Amino acid sequence: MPAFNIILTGEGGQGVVTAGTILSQTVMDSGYNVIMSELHGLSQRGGSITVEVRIGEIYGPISFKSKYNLLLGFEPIEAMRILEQISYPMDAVVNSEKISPIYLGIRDLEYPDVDAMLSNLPQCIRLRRIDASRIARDAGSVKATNIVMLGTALEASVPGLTLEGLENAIRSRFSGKLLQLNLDALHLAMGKMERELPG
Amino acid sequence: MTLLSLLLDNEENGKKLFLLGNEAIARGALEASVSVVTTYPGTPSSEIGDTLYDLHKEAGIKFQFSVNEKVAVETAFAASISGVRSLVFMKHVGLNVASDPFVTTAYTGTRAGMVVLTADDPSMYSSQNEQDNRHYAELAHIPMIEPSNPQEAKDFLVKAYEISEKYNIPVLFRTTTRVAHMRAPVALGKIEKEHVSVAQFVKDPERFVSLPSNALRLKEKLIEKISEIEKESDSYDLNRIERIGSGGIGIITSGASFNSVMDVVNEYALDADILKIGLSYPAPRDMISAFLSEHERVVVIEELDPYLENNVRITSQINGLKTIINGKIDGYFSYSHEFTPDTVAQSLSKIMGFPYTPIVAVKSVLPPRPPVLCPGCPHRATYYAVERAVKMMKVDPVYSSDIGCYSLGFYEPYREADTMISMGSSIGLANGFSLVSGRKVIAFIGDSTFYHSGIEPLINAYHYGLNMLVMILDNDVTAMTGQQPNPGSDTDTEVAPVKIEEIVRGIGISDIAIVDPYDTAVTLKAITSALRNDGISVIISRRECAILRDRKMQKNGKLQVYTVNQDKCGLCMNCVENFACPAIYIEDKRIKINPDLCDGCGVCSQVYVCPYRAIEVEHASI
Ligand code: SF4
Ligand code: SF4
Repeated sequence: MPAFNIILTGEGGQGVVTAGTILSQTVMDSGYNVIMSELHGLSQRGGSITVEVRIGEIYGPISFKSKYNLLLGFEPIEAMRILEQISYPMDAVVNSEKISPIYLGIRDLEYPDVDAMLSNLPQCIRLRRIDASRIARDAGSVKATNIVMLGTALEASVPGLTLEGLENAIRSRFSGKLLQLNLDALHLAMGKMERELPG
Repeated sequence: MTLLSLLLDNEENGKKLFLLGNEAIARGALEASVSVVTTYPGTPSSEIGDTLYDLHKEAGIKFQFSVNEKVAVETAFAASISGVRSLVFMKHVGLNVASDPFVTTAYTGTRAGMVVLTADDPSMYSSQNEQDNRHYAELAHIPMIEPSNPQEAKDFLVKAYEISEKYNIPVLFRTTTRVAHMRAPVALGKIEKEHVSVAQFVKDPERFVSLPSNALRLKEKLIEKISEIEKESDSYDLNRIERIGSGGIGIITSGASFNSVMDVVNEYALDADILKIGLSYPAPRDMISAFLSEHERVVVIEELDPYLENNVRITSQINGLKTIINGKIDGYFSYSHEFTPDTVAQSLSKIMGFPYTPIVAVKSVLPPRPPVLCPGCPHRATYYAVERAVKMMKVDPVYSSDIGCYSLGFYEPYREADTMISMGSSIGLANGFSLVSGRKVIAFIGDSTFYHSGIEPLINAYHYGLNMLVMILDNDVTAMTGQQPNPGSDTDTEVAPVKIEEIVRGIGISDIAIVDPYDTAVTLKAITSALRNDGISVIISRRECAILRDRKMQKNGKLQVYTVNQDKCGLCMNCVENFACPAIYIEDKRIKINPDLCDGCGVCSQVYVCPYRAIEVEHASI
């Protein structure tokens, strides 16, 4: 089996690392080898953050740039920042909700027209936009955006990733109110994805 | 089961957990029956401490967040020579601070096993330099082990204690960011239950007093030990050969580079054998020599400096071998940055002649998103007040900054960092600036950094009557690395908090003020008055880290949020352009506050930030 490489990106505080860990745990529990890169150590919130999850008989936590299979973009600028660098066949799911970097306010600049950039991506990138933050709010809190994004990964044929597996990984990580919120968000995301499926 | 209980559980023997390299090291410490653990927090080593701190009581480990790395090494060393296994860990630059005792511990040697772990940071994800600490092994004649992944990090650590005890020598354990922060399945081993944590030091002054008369003899013995270890280096299963190729080309590698090498070799189905070195000091010269003789060409692939490459070239020279050697000395590989599969493939393709098209990086038009001070961070309020005070007083100070979250004062709009070199250097450099210029110097230093290395330069400054304002940003924790406690913290009944103001007064400094940065008016007044003073002034800007405060507020269900009253807002933009809290943003030409981000500190609502008093409490809720 060739390696399956996923890249998750967003702003610090959006739960990107947690999403990567839950995803990896699910895949590992189905019997696959999985490696995740987790660059953290700075506490401050905000700032771009990127996590890679690699599945298969691989050794290192970083993929060849030309070998990503799936991008989960939690924020449009951050998704675009990765997509600028890699234009190879892959699936990309991008959350619609924008978070302005404070740099823009300080310089009195507008949020760039990422929507236009995203619609001009090369054909080989199969792009899906999803209002993940709104779905998370509908489920109870924007904090569950990361789980909504994970829900979208269920459609990308990630080896070892199943709804049941995701539910189990979420159950083993959260309890009480947070557990319910995250399960609700996952199910809401599933429903949305089905309805939004083309055809 | 929580991760901590899984890590502690001996029934988990053989089971696989999905662990961060640093968590695997914590488990390794348990499996090796380590009983004394010391550290100063530093990325990428911090999670070892976070994990062991959380479970140390249950595991029967004595754990300390030491005041700095030097004290950490000295504490661990004394434990070892008293007969207790110890582990001390730090980020790479921390070993500079600890290098003084570190080097001499090799001379005296150890008793119970002692491992000094250094976490290097190629590509400098969170560091001020990219130094290659493998040189420390060579410099100190201390054996060094380099794991490549979390499983090895755990297993090799256990072996490190065997080596340390067999030769009575400390072992340097070197990880890098991509090993420390790599998550992978780890099969657990057995936790040996026999902890020895109380022991009596048996005196042997001829060995442990490193006077020149003793040290000369000890040095000779040390060199003998190292050549012994080199002879036996095969017996620890730390070095191994992956025979994939047909014998033409060999690759010598170690640590994180091994992973990228394997991914490249597999992706391109390359014809190459790989010698992976895990015990890299003393370099296994016999093994290297044999590997060289078996191949026409050997490529050395390692991050940062040509440490292995030098050893390979020396081995070749000593044995008169004709093998072609490639690496970074002849220009194929870089001296900086971590090695990814792409960078390895790019260089290797030139040597081995397989097709590889490099990825051309495009110039991004997107706005950068560097890390920022959190919403509600007390440092933002301090920087804002200093900026205002300096403008009011019409002074143009040199800003000497230091290491911590507040290093972010470098970025717009604050721009209050002109220098930042090393732990404590804010006050150290202020000594020099004040000595050679008449200009006002403002030094910014956090509480942890002050305890770590800020006290000595302050003594120097007072002694020589220098002119400076020292702003001690006291947020009660070592915030940047994950809110670890420091000597000022009142975490539990077993520690005695050390008061910064008492240290400062004890030195003899009398112009000292303690302010709450959330109170802009008071803070501003204190700064302007200190700027009028011609000698040394200290302002302690005291307010806990917003993340800590958040946790407490959430527990008490008291998180209030602020909002902009659009009827009052005069659109002066001061809050966005000069105060720059990440919760405040512009949308449709209006100033707004994101309630998901606002931390309720209320600083933006004060007249010094919002002259229109347009920012108001929205609601208090859970
Ligand atoms: S972690 Fe604490 S000290 Fe660091 S930026 Fe955030 S609030 Fe400020
Ligand atoms: S009260 Fe104002 S300064 Fe404080 S976090 Fe909220 S928006 Fe930021």
